[in-house]
Amino acid sequence: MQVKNAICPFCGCLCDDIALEIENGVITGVENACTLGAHKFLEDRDFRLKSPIMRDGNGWKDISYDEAIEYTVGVLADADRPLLYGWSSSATETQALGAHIAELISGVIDSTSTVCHGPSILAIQEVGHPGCTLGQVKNRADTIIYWGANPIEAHPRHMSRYTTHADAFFIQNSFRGRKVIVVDVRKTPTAEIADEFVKIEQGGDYAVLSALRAIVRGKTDVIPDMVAGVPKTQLIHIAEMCKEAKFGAIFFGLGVTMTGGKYKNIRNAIEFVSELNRHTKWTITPMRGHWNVYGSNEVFTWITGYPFGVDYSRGIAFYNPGETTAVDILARGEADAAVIVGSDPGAHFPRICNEHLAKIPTILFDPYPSATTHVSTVQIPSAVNGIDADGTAYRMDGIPIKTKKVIDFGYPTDTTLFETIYQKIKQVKGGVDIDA
Amino acid sequence: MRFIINTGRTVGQGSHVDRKNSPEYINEASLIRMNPVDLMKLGIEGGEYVRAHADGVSLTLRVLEDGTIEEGTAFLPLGPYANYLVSGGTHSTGMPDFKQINADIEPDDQKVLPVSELMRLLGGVPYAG
Repeated sequence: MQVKNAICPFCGCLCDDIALEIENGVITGVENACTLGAHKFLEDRDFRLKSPIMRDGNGWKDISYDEAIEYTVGVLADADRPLLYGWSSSATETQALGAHIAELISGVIDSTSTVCHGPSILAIQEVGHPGCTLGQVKNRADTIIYWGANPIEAHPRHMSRYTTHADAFFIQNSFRGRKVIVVDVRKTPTAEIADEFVKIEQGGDYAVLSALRAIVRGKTDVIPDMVAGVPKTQLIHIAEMCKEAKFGAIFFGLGVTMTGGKYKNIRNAIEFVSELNRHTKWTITPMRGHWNVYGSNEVFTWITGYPFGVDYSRGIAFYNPGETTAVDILARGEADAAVIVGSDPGAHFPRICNEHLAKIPTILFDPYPSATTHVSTVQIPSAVNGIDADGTAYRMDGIPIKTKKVIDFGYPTDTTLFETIYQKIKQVKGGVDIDA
Repeated sequence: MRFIINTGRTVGQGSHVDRKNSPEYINEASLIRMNPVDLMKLGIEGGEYVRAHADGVSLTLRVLEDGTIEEGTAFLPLGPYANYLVSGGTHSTGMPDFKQINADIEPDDQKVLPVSELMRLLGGVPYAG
């Protein structure tokens, strides 16, 4: 059996043209996907956890889904400072249930954006977001900047679908005519194929962005000969390339959000785009990582008013990144229970956070054994969205796309599990039915 | 010697990201890329081991010689090895300094720990599958 136009559940590109060959309940062939997506589809089934597991002294034992759900409900209903973290590998339907559970138990809900493009959101809250869809970029943008991003390794089809190698409706010979500028601290594979590579010193993003803004403003005289390792002559050249573009698009990655300056780097990048928009048309878009991390920001904002790091301990939604965000709550040793959904803080959080997760009841919802498994008390495998579950996801440019269920392995979906948990906690708490 | 360690996605890391306990993932996530001149100063070659010290802890990593890395810096794929060295401070933003780890790196003769054993050091109980 062949499935056409399947959605890839790996990165924020959400490629929607994947063709899958399925034989005897196994995905045997993948077309159009990148290396990352192909591994996801082809190797998925071999590495799934078969049933829920629970830590048992210095070992582990299998438990039933009913036992796992009862344990989860008991832990969450009793917790004083529960943390519900992850959500970016779940459909929006599951994310909504997570936000409602957080309110019900006066907990904190945070998504992986907190350690990804959280700083980008902080910057957007300060100065706005001159963005557009990837379709606009594909068909109109004649100049592209990748800043602190390496799409060839992190979003391998981004350049072929939307930028460098993509056909454009409004640009003649776009394959050769589009200019690509890469700004990075090392010559990445993406930088190798750029028309212009700007190599900056580590942590130099803010200074280089400020210099470019000054040049675009006509204040070239104030720029020193070198700015964070970049010669003034190259900065002037880049600024000219940007001003000469008819439609330009900046894509930025974690090279800008995770270094010193954090959200101030992004703010400067957005203000650089604002400067350029006095001369021509430019937009800016974050390269979102998890396939539905954008969805978590959308859903949490609809329901709570805030995009991530939402704390219900006061009875109302409260948001203060640095205080109500997952890393900070764990590093302070504050959470007394944690639910981790489709993410791996064991691999992607600082050491001190995992030392705390190992001390408290930590319930992991993940189809695969991960680094977090070893610091959890219970792991519950659920169906993988885009393979054996469907739901709504948001692409990195904010376009909602319905993922497809292409096969059935008999695993419950995240949505089913959290609907059950929500109803059971409501019974335990005896609270008001917020759906009524 | 003092280095700034940068972290990020590689194709090898991303391809095995759902199999964090596999040899393929462990080999990639613990592979630190360093400039050939720095390796010469340390007296080691690609494929040998180093010990990285940061934030009061240290761990063993395997070295890959990479001329695209600036002297005085290093690159480690994101994952449990890199984050073992990252401190929990976020400068009130929620975001740790994942891409700016100040580390002392020296030659080492130990082997790289599997992910499960790394998690045991943090208080976890390894799950063997």
